Amino acid sequence: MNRPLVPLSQFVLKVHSRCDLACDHCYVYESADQSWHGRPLAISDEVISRTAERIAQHAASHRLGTVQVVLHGGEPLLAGPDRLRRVATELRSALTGISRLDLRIHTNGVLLDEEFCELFAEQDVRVGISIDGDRAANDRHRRYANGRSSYDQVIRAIGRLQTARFRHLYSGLLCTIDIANDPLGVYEALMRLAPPRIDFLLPHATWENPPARPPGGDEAYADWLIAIFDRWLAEGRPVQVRTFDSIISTLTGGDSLTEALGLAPAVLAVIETDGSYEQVDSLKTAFDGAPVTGLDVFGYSLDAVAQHPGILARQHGLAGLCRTCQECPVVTSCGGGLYTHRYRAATGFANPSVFCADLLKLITHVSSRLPQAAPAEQPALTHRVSDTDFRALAAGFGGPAAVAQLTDAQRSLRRVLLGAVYQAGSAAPAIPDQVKAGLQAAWTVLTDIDRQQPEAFDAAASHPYVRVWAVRCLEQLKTGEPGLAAMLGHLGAIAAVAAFRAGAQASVTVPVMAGAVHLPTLGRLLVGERDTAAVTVAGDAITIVAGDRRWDLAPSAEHGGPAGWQPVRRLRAPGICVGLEDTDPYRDCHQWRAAPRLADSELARWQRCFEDAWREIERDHPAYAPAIAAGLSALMPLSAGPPGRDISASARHAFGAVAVALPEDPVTLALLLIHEFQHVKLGAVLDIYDLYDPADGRLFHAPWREDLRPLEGLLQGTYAHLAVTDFWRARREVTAGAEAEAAGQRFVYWRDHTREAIKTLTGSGSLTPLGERFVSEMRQSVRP
Amino acid sequence: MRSTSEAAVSSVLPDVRAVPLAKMPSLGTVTLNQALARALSDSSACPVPVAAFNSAI
Repeated sequence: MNRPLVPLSQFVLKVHSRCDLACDHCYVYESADQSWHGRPLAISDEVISRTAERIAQHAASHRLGTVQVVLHGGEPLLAGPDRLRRVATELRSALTGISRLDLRIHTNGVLLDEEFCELFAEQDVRVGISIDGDRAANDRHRRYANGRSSYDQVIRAIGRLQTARFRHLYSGLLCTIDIANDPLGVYEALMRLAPPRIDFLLPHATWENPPARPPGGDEAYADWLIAIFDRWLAEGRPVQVRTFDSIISTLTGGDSLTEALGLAPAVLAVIETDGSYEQVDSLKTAFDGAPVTGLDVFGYSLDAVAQHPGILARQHGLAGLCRTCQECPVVTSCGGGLYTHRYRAATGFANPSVFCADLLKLITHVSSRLPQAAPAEQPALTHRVSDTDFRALAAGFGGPAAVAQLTDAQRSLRRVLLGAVYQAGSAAPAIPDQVKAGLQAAWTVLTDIDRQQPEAFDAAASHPYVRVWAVRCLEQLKTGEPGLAAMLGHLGAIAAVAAFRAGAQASVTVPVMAGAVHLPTLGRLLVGERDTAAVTVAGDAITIVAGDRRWDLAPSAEHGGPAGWQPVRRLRAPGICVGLEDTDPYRDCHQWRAAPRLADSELARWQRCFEDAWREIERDHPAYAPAIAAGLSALMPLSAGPPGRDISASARHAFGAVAVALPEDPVTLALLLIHEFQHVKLGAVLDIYDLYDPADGRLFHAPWREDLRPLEGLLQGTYAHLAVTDFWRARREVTAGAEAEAAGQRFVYWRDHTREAIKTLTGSGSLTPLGERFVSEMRQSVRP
Repeated sequence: MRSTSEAAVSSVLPDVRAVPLAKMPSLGTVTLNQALARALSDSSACPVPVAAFNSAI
């Protein structure tokens, strides 16, 4: 078994170790751990540089898509704008080309002036503010050392974040619960500040230092939160409240949204101002020295931190909980509560939370208030794949019938995603009314066409990059990143295409992205730099108006049209026709860069190579051809890879699309198409079935790679190489001489690697019974 | 979905193809979340769901 390692992806960076307030509930200064006394006041340039290097190294070696860094303290604004700018620029510079940086700051807000706001706008830093309610509630704890209230300064800071210029930086409010405050008064006070999200935090406590409770108030924290939950639910969940959203998510089969609840593994490390690595901050409440790792950025990598026993202890899910928790009916939602809250001197962390009774009551209450799906609402059917086709897919093959069943499931997923984007976009407080009106207009067009001509709706919605777009929208609706309005506006473009496919009439507003109006599956029109354009569809004609210019299109024609119109062109060979997708704004979703629009001469090269490759597939690899012909709808050109290397890609969310940099010869293109379509098939299978335990965060050795892979990555690679092995076996048989010998060597290489990977999968202990069946078919398919 | 009496491997992914698009936002929460969790999943890029730091609002 390989050594388990769950990569770290969240980092709390302490940029200043002191605070300008003296809140009496602060875990940094008022709890058991007093290590702050010995820390440097501010983070040094050297620590900043080493931290950025360590994070970038870790992100690169584990291929992290996103890294979150939270600037923290003490009070981080005390570090000053120059130091914070340096932190942001060094982190961004180190992570460029490696991972997306999600940079945030958590502040008490009292120093948040225009200069800081400008800095955060420049550096794309999201701001969370601590505030405990109205003036009286906030003044209960959040005061200066001389007893003076901080309320007015905090309100002024939040006011800055509410202005149009900085609104996109406003990530939410953190409210530490004090049950002496009126819960609805606190809720109303926070709602008046129009936050995108509220986090209600239980005060830090342990069994050694239990939270304050009134006599007989064993569930007082639950009662406090329930009062707010009921109001929030009655108001239609007008704002994200992480505690409630997390409970609802986990009660309905989704993920936990907070470290304070649920069974997800902790992936966080703290870096102190002196460069020490620590475990999560809240452990300071448990005992003096509790968060210490003994490691620092100067001598140790983040891989070493990820293997620290204290970090590993919070990655065991259900197995890491005490027996009482393991047997609790709400354990999936609760997860034993915040790790720190379980601490007792005699037994360490192997206890239920000191808020156990509160969590049980709250989760049970939320569960009882969830709308139970009425029989009429609940679809009677779930997706299925015939036993024969499932076995064929598992063996690495599967024909058009198997692909058709996978395609059916994708239709369901897209419908749900479109509904979720519309619903979330319409309800998001940060989205301007004008954008919501556009969303509503597009939704009306789409739902009408879906009702009247479902095949036309499907022709537009089944474009591979529609799901990529929808997923990005939902992700950005959670984080409130800039550009969301334009992104949501793309629903108008999908609606316009559906109307065109239906031969219907429709008028929608669409965003102009990178100087173009994009109509998925049809092409793009270059209109110059504008925000939006008006699209009118009438039968098979489309009129686009941007500013004072107007274009009339007849998109049915693959060539011609007005200047600036770039239609999606098609690659054809006997028995197959796929879109050459070199215009869609959401196609660039792979680890390799999308190629720009191809010139006609490049298109001709693609056509020749594709035709020859397809002939090769049909002649020498006939078992793969029918499924590819049925399921491959878009081929996306990639920019050339590193010299001497052929590159290709697929994406889980882009069913039906394969991305390839045009290789020198058609045999290589045939191999890349077969390889990538394996990923497309397996991704769609995984959309329907659980083949492995998603909570297994370990990384595994893949024989063909230097880095370690998560279980799904290993499964995907092995499934693709099943076909690669088969490809070289066939090449060995249809070629002669040196070519056959080389093919034979490649066959043996990939066969052995695939077998070894299948053994790793089987021995992982994390395959579901269906996954074991799937991998067993894979194993039997590796022929000698 | 093919109409056949052949044995099939069942799943929990709701088949909503026959549910009008206009009704999608009002689907039952359980149905919606089950399907959404699958539609959003991509653990080959991001290994597992992880615990979100509380103070990273």
